[in-house]
Amino acid sequence: MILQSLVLKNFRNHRSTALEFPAQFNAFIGDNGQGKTSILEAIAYLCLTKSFTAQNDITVVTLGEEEFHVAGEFRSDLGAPSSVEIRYRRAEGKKTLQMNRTPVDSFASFIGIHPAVVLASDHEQITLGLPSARRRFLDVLLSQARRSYLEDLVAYRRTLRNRNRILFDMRERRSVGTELLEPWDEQLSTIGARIIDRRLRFLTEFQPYVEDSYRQIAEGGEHPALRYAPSICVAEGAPREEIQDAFRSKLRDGLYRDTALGRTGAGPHLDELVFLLNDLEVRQYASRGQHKTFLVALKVAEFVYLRERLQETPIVLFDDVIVELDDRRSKALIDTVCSLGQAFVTATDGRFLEKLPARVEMKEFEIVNGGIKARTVEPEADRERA
Amino acid sequence: MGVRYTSESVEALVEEFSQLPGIGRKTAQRLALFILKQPRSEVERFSAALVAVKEKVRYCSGCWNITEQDPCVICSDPKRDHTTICVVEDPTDVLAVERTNEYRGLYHVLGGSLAPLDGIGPEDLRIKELLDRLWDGVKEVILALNPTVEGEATTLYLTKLVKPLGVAVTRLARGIPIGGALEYADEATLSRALEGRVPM
Repeated sequence: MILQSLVLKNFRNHRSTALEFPAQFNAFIGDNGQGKTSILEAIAYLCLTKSFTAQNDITVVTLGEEEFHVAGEFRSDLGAPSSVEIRYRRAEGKKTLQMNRTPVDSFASFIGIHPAVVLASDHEQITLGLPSARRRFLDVLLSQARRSYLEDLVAYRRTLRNRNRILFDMRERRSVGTELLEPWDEQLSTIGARIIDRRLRFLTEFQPYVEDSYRQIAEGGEHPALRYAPSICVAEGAPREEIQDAFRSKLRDGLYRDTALGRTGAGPHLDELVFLLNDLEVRQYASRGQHKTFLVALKVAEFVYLRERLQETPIVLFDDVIVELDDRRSKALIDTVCSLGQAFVTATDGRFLEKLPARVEMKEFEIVNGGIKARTVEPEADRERA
Repeated sequence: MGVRYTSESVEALVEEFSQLPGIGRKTAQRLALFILKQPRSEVERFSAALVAVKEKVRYCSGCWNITEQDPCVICSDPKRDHTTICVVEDPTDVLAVERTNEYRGLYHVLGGSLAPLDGIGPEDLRIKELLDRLWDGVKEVILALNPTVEGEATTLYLTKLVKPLGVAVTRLARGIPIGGALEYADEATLSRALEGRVPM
């Protein structure tokens, strides 16, 4: 997938910005707060329907304006063009999405058509932080890979919120009428079992991809592994029905506690994904360098996995991370990504661009307070002269 | 704050229109200006139609569908099968099923689905009224609720209540749309269709 052009209106400090991306590698260079990340954020909106930084769409609208608007023209690996437009109106508090000038109602059916892999600075939480950061990594990846996963995830979250509301009401009224909970427990365990089953099967599939990319980046015999640690006891290789039964009885056994707390204490929304290096947990035992290597390996693996699964090359968005990586790691990242797909990278300092392989066609954008100056660098010959 | 009209009546009308579902402020303004240009007789007919629905329309005491006569034309039709009841969320769902020209039984309009997040519990739906109808020779209850998590929860809840009464409970099949090619069906639909496959 290639993004050919991008238009932003009232998007953070971009009042009206139009950009063309003829090149494979697009670098946005500028000081902090000038609007580099906003461009990547806008591309993320077009591919994933949301930002990777903002919690709320409303914070993205330029101050004093009513709505933001992002539009992009894409071309698939096979050369098929497509256009995407996303609009958010403050007054309505919701986004509308159009693909090829036709409204898209189900975001789940849209995600995965224009795949994207994002690496932003707060993604270090994936290996360092709380389980929720790892679950989000897993969910974003799987949602792009399988539409039914995202549909299940959306239904699960809604079911969970409904169940939690009943638990909350039960606590406030101090009555326990379980017949109201039953239909929600039934659904939560049905959808939840599908999610757990899918995650387990995915991790088995994904493991070799991580091993491969890790080997490319790190020297020596470190062995990476991914383990799923569910909050419900399930035997390895258990069929979905068995997972569902286990989940259902866990809900029943936990009823007293769930009612007291007013929320559901077990399920895929609390499961943990554990990263291991030579059987030691990365989160606790890895060095700073190993953390970075692991994260880059995960992202390269994500890129390769999505590309194979979807038969479409993901667009890559790297926000302020390449400079932080040492030579070997950034080289592995750039090599994999640039040899295959289109990349959008931000940095405060353009010096890292000298490390790019000479064959890569590059366009450099200098960003000063929402304004942009572009400079295209043709492959090879021109670079040598420069 | 947007620019306002110099007439308070136009402003009030815009305000009323924008209360309607799916109508934003821009559309409301367009509608108000349209009304302004209409002849007086048209506008009177329009406002009379609005008042009439409130005066004449009520709920059928049998199925809780909207009607002007009680019981409604469906409930009072002797040619319809009074042993089968199709349970739906809203009156528009009755229209949808009627359009098929396939179904000859009766209906029961619940008035929504179980939605704890919106504060809608069993007592807010016409569930007790449904159970009261089942003593009178009803053999089958067809649950035709929306495929949302709320609709699904309502289906499970009603099944649990109705089944012990010795009435057959069925639900709509979920699967591949007619005219849709298998290769374009999404995974979720296809796997549900597989789960709900029928013997030949």
